Amino acid sequence: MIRVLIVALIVVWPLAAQQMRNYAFHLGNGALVLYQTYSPVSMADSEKAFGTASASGNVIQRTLLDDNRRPWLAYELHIDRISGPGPVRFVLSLQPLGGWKFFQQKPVPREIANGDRVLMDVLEQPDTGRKIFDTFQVGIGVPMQIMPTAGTIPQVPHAGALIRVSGPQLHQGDTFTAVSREVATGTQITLTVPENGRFTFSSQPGPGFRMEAIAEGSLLRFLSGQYLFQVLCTEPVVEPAGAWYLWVKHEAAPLAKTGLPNIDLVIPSRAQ
Amino acid sequence: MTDEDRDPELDYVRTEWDAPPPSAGFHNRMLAAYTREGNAAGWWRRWLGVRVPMPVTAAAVLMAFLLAWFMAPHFRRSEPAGLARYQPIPQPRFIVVSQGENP
Repeated sequence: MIRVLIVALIVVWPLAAQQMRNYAFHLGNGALVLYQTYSPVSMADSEKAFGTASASGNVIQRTLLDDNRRPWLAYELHIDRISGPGPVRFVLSLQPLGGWKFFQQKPVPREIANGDRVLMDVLEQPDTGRKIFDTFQVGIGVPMQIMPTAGTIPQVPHAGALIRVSGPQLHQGDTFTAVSREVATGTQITLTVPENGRFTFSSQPGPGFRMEAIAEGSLLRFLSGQYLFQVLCTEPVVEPAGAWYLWVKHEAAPLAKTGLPNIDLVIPSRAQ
Repeated sequence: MTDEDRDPELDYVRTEWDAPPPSAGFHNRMLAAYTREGNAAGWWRRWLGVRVPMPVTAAAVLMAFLLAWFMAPHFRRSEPAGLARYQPIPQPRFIVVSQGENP
């Protein structure tokens, strides 16, 4: 009986798990698409929560289901490769799917480069302004790295939101670690890392910045090119609790100091 | 069945024969050996062997399901109640974040 209880606990535990799902699709035109969805409801019924996403040819079919398991919003994301010489490029467009509910207007078709990362806003809460994005990256023969993941639905922070980095430990996979015991707080802060230059984080957009960072609790995850970095802090990075998109700018060889709150990280083996 | 089993003489001997009684202290020695073997098993193995009444197990499984269900994000007050509070964006946009675009 004890064994039955243990198995039951293992089975039901995912009910309280995360709200994100990742897919990898190989399209007919040779492109690899890393597709990431967030759901506003629990994983108790994952199909209802996330709907479905599947690929056929050069099309990704996406449906969100209602309580009766019928699509209440459905669309086709067409990812067509532009033919001809020159670098690989794609055109994105959206079409209705199966006569189900669609957006009031189609998005403007968009040309993207090989390996580009794209956010598409799908749902919103009018009373709170919260949005849910589908995120995807499209590429052929290039390193792929989708947006950092989060346990809850990431949101864009309000203007002036403070970023607090305290006692950071920076990891890039298993190959690099740098640390500091310092604290920096501001709407923009910088981390200077040996051999990696300077990373500037901002809670609002700006020239040279990319919205490719997510802060959740005391963890700050961000992209720089094809690389995923993680900064583990001793306190929450952005308040209130939740997952928050942030902007990041990388300067491999910074020319001058910025005047922003800065932390100089050190490689532990060299600090001893 | 073998021929020996059907031997009337052997059957007679078998019904009349009484096994000798166990030696003195046999019961205590067996009990001590059982206790010794039981203690030698790992604690986890003995724990797995605990007998729990079926109603208690059923109640525990039900409690586990209810606990997980109500811990799910759907029921957390800080989380949106569900899809009903969300609406489709009137006109979505393709925001190419790797080219520096923003929502």
